[in-house]
Amino acid sequence: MDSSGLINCPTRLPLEEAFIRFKLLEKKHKRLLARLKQSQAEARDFADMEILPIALELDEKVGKDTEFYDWDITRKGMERGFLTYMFPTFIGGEGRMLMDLCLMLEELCCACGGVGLLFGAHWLGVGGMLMSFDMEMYYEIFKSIVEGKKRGEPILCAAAVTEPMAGSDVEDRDDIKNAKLISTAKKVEGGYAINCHKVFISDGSVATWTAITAALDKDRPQETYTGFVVNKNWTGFSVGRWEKKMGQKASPAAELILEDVFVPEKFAGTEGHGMDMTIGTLCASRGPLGAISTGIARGAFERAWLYAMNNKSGGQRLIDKQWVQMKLAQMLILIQQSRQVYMDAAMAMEVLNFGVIHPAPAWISKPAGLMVRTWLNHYPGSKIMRTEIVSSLTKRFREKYFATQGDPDRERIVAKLMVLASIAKVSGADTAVEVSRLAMDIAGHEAPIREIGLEKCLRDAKLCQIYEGTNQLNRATVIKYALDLDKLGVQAT
Amino acid sequence: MSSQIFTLPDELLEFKKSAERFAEKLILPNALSWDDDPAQFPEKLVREGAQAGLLSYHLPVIEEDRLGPPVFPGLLPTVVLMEELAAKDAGAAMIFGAHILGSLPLALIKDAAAERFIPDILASIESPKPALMALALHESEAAEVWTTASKVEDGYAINGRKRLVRLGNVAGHIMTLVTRDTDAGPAAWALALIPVDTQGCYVERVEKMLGQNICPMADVLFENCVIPRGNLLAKNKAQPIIEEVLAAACAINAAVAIGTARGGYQTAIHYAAERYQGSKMIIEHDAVSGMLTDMQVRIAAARGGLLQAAAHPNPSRKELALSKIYSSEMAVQCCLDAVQVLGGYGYMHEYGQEIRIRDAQMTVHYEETNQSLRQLVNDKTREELEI
Repeated sequence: MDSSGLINCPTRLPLEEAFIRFKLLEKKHKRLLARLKQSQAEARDFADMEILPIALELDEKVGKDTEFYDWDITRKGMERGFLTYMFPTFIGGEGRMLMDLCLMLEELCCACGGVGLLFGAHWLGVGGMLMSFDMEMYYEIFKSIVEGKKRGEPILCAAAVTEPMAGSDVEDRDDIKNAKLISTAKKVEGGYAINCHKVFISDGSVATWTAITAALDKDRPQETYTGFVVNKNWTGFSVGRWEKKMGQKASPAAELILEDVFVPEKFAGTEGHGMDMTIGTLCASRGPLGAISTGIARGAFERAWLYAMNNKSGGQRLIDKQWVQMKLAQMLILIQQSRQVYMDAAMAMEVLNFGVIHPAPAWISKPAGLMVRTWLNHYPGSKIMRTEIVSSLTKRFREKYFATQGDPDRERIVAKLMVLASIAKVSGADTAVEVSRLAMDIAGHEAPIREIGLEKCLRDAKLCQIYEGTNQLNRATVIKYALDLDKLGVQAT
Repeated sequence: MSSQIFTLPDELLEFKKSAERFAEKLILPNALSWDDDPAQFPEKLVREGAQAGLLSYHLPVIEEDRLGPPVFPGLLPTVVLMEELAAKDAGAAMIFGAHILGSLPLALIKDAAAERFIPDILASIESPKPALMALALHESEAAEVWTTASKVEDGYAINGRKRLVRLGNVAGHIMTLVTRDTDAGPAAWALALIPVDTQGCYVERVEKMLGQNICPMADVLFENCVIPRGNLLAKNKAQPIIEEVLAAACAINAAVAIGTARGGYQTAIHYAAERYQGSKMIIEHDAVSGMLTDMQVRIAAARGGLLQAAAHPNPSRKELALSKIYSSEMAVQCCLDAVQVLGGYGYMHEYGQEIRIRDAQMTVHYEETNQSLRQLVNDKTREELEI
């Protein structure tokens, strides 16, 4: 597909018109809007220039050889800052936020859902690590990613939650109680020994750092579920199958097997807070998932739009036929809806985020914010920042953070975020599938031909309804957290 | 005409059972590898199918020196067969479906010129290397026929290009819709029976497709391809023959859609009964059982409509179109849901479920697209109601 014919496509309105709310924000937050516009423009350029030309070929290559991974496109994305996107600028990152990430993922997935997921899964991994609130861990991992970028070597992250016998169960705070877990961790001197079997891990086979969950006691998973970070080079870490997926092939889905992997203390989260961290990660990741899905839908729309512009039937352009217009309109409606709800979820994370990224009460969040800034200002900085004083400070901060678990103010915010994020995920995923089907209708006899590019959209789209919790689990989650709000009251008293 | 109530006659029930056994033995074990490597056309399947009569049951039989009625006349047997085969693999089913469509004109034309070919075709089917028949209709634009047959000294010269010919690269004969005058509309249409080894008949490309991969679709080019005079069939009456073939194509695709959906459903319900999640088997969750029931509802409705339409002695083009539209679209939804029930496993090739989404989607587009069938249904309805 040639993107030059898409300049005036209705899905490519200027950012502040596609999301009309930004027109209002522009007056007060000029810099924010400028940055978001930049994020979208950069990602669109990368998608049109670098991804689009290789998307079909890459899909086919991985189809033939499931262990093929395109380091070239990863490196190119890294050079554009996609692996350091949300790190602060003064540590070598791009200083972007969740809204930027969503816009970026939409653009990438419009060209290829697989390449979009490749970068999206990296941020899912980083998101899991951020939930540890552990400065020492941040220091090690983020430094390696930033330095990798300087060397020209992509350092990827991944998140490994799903197990062979537990998919939905490990993404739900109640179902974890009776989940059939395989992965376990055991306290040993200086850290933990973990044994895990994880499946379908996006980027799992190529990531250097993987955020992973395991229970210390399989019989009491809810109380002992804990997050860890492992490095692919550690003894006992191995990659099993690279799955042959239906779509989104550019990002591998791999089986991870950990046999007695020793995880040093500093790479372990707080014991028993694994589910809390998972929920926090999902609050942040389901919005971007909505953006990935919306991007895939947009890719289908734009391909169908070009097809309808350039093909005739009975002497008339397809786009001038009413039946085609009915379908295109429906596609546009769904895309517009999904875009708005994923942006709602992303904005909510940034506006309400004290509940998740920082604890709710101001007496904790203010000094914590100051501490984060101090640490970041000194990064990679003097050795002072790695002294025991800092260690003990971060440790206390973590303890304070998790002490707010169960606090109604915090739970209220988590519930609101979870509802919005899950809505964004379901809406986007269903849109992706429906829009891809409609797009195929437009191309008629030619639609299933690979070179047309539409059949890939349908294959890519279907995964959106499955990962990050199936759409069924997400729907249940929406109501579960809505009922929390019913119990807590939607407003603090 | 729409109030008949029927059950399948005993001989068709028997046919259905043997089709199921055939599919279980010869199709099911190979479905995954066929999808992985469609270049390996399953000669063995075709051979065994030929021996089981699946390539000839719809054709007249030779009784002494005359042609007698087919073993299984009408559309009902084909519909029964296609569902059973597609429940295991839609691509394999369509190999037989495509051959039936390619050879059906010989049974429908009912004149000496066409019947002359039947003994040879039947003999080939019984041989160790049966020649399949393909049907070439589509061209670069839907509903247009630009491939010409022009009289030359020793027959007819065929010129033109046919798109997306099922089995176009593996068949022995291609039944090709041609025109003797591009300006004269359907009246000038005819059917050219073109042996693929005729000079000037080329396979241009084999398309890579979304699904039904083991049944290839090829672009076939005819460049001054001269066939004997007797190979140009159904002169002046090709249009009604094509209409009947397209009606059969609707029935075949509807049946393949239903079979595909059924296969997906069967895998899903068994998985749901064994998969534990959320403190119980997932079949006990409303979110899953609701989907499973909806699949049953849709499949039952589609099958009812199709059998009803196909059982009629003179099957209606419109009713079969209705059935194809509904069956294909419900099949895509069923298979999307059938994958959903399996969660992550459903999306992975190895579990054999994602193929079904891809296979089902193919039935939306072929042989006629649902959009053109919607137009046809509307036109026929207005004719009936004179509005």
